Parts: sequence; structure tokens; C-alpha cells
Amino acid sequence: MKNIELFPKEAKAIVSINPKVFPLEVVYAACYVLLDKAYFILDGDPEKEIKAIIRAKNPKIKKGELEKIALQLHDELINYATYAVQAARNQAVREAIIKRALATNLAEEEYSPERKEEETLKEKAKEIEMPDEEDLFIEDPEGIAKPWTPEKAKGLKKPDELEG
Amino acid sequence: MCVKIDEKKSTAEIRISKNFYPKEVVDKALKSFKGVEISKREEETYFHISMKAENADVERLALEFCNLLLAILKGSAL
Repeated sequence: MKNIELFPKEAKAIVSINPKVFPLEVVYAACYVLLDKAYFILDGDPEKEIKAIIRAKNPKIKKGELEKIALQLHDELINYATYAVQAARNQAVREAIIKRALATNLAEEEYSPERKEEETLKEKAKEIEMPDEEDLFIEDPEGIAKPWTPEKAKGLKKPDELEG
Repeated sequence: MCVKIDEKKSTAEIRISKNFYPKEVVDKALKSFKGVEISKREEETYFHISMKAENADVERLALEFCNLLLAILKGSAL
């Protein structure tokens, strides 16, 4: 392939990447996935051509296997590029969902059940009108509605004596 | 190639582009790469990392250092 150079004797491959197609973040992510299979060094110009230098972990690697790693890097580049594009497309929706979720939590805090109950009680208390003093007056023709005090009880007969 | 090995002296020198590897990342990797004599030198667009390790495959260590850089980078990437 044009953008893959293989050097099997050195267990090395160089993959040329167009930064206009695959941004640097995508290149980092694609290399990271393959860290257990090979060593990676990035070189070149980040605005014109990125060169991913791949060194196989096995120094006696066959040409086919080396090419496979280089092609895997291409696969991962496409994988992460797709992810990045989708993430950019869904950014507005994700932000809206997060905002909504946060707003819901805030509203719940403001109108917690205890607070709601308290407010209802206050409203009910306002609705209830207190009666005037005149309305509280009760007529007492017998003259029995007098407050009882121990002094007033002196000289009065006990309930047993009254019965007898 | 970005890695130069001197087997007699058991030293390796890596040339790392500043365009791809920020200084903070390189410094962080240097700090966490213990047990090896390691030093950094700066040029216009490249960092030169030299390391010396006796009784060890210094080339492999140098390449592992490169992978460590990528791993640290990915921590702040996508």
C-alpha cells in the first residue's frame, strides 16, 4: 500500500496518515489500542503528514504479521474517527440531556416533600380566619362561668356532705 | 529512525517531536520511569531523551518509554 512502508528486517513499519482525514486525537487513540502489540512513535508534520513508526515487539516478526499490525492501525483510525464524528454530531443532544438532568435535580431540591408540606400548612393557616373577641363571648345566665380558685372553695361543702 | 542505540555503552537516545508530545507529558513520563539513568535535552522541535541501563535491553526500554508517552497522552485525549 502507498501509505504503508514495511521494513521486516528491522521489524518496523511506517504508516503515513493524513491529519486532515484523521485528527491527532484520533491518531493517539488508535495507537493506544495497539500498544500491547507494538511500539509506536509519532513523527512528521501534524498539519501535513503524520508518520506513525511501528516497531513490532517480536524482533523476528514476519512481513505479513507486520503488515497486519499496520492495517489494524488503519482500522482503529477509522473506528475512532467515526466515534469522534458521532460524538460531535450528538454533542448538542448530550448537553441538552445533561442540562435537563441537572435541572431536574435542582427542582427536586427546591420542592422537597418537607418543604412542600410546610408551604401547604402555611397556606391553610392563612385560609383559617381567627374569630373576633365578641364572637368568643358565651352567655352565662346562671353565673357559673367563673374561674375556680382555692380561696373561693373555702367554706363550701364537700361533694360527700352534699349527698348526705 | 527515532531511536539510536549504542550497545557498547548500553545507552539509547530517542528523538521525540514536540509537535506530538507536549513537554508536560514528557516530564511526567520521565518522573515515572524509575530505575534507569534518564535525561532530557531540548532542541527546536525535538526532545532528545537519553537513557542508560546496564544488564538490560536498553532498546526495549527506550521503546517502552515511547509507549508510556502515548499512554499518558491518551489519559488526556478522547
